[in-house]
Amino acid sequence: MTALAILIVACPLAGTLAAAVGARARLAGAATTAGAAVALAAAITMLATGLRHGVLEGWGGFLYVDSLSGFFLLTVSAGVLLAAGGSAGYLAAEEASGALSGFQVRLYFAFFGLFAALMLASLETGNLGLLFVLLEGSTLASAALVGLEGRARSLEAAWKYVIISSFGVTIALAGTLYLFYSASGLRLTSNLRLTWPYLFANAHAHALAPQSLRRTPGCPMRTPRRRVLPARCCPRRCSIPACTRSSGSWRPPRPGSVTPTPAGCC
Amino acid sequence: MSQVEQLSATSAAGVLLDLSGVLILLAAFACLGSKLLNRYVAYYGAQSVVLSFAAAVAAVTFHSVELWILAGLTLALKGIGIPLATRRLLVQRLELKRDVAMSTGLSTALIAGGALTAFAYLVTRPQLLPHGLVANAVVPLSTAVILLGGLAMVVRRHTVAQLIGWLIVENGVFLGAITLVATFPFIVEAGIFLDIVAGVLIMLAFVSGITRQLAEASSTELRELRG
Repeated sequence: MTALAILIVACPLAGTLAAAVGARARLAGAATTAGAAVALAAAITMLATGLRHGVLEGWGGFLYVDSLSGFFLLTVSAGVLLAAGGSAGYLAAEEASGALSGFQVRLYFAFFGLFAALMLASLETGNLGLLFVLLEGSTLASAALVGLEGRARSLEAAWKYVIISSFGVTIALAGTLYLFYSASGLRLTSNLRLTWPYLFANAHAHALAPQSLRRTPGCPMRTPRRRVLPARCCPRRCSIPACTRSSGSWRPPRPGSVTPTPAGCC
Repeated sequence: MSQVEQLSATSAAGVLLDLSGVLILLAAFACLGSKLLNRYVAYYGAQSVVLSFAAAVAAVTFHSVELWILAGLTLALKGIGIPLATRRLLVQRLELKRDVAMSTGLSTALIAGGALTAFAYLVTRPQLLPHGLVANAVVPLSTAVILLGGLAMVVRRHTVAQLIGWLIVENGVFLGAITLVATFPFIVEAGIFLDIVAGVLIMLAFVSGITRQLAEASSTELRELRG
């Protein structure tokens, strides 16, 4: 199973390798297509045999494939195979007509293989930080593909694409940061605190930092969280919901009223 | 419980981190308000140097080798490498000295920056964090730096200025990371750095390509692909 997962990611790199050693469009295209076909076969095998009985986990949460990601591995690797077959013919024709130089063709296949491998790898990880790294990497590789021709229009498209999606992914990194922080109370290693299945399993645990992420049960998502607890109750570990459960809405305490401290508050 | 949560705002390290956060915010404002392009790049470099100082403070406090590596990488790449590379590309190769192209006036941009800073305090301060920690003071600052970087990307027209705006956003996220969680897992942190370097290289290649094709590499010229 782990070997299959590695195979899916490594196979599209065949085209990158071929381009790196200086293959022309026909050969590099054939290598890319063959790699994509093997990746698709591996994805089908993995979905049909291994993932029916459970999830694949390993390397401290960095490797995580469940049946949903298995399905997406199938669709993405099928897409990669179609794109590889199409671009093999297209790039060979472009090279023959002189529209693209040999260097540009090698650049295309190098970045195509990287793009496919990073995209497939991002489906196989459960670690949200590594997910960011792989997504940003695949964005950059595909941006290089967009701007490959070097003409004004393609450079304009590539610039707009890379600047907008890099900015968006960086905002996602800020979100990942808050997820990581919210899990800082869990008794896990730092890798596992960014691993989605563990975070998900602990989503309702009181150990998640309540002020930043945890949704108080019974509260609507947009309820303002303000501390209504008396000062002697330690706010960090307390498990009192900051809203009235029955009505589901938050009301500020009346001045002078004493908020009762329920049992279970430290 | 991570170590950072014990870092109170009144400890020496907490005061230093707080001060670095303020300096980083000021550098972001300086970037937003500077008219000369090479000064804009220099302010970004200064911001990155302060960020690496903040990482070093956290490294001393937590005795963390990873944070020392992070501080060194920040200083070498963001503080020295990227500003030098962009300056060389801009000033020497493209012979651009001024960046007067802004989509708003300078004062409008600064007022919008002030409003965004206030907004960052409004959304993060009351609910997010427990009191008494240095993160409580610095996280609104880092949010403000993220928003200011986005604003710089919007109001500046030159493509290099937009690239630096993205890097300011990245600096803001790193400032938040240093004070909230000290550091991501090392593999993730190294991958993020690799991505930034690759991103800057690819974007600089695009910028020099655009400059070769167009006169000013300003986003006003990038209008061919409108729907």
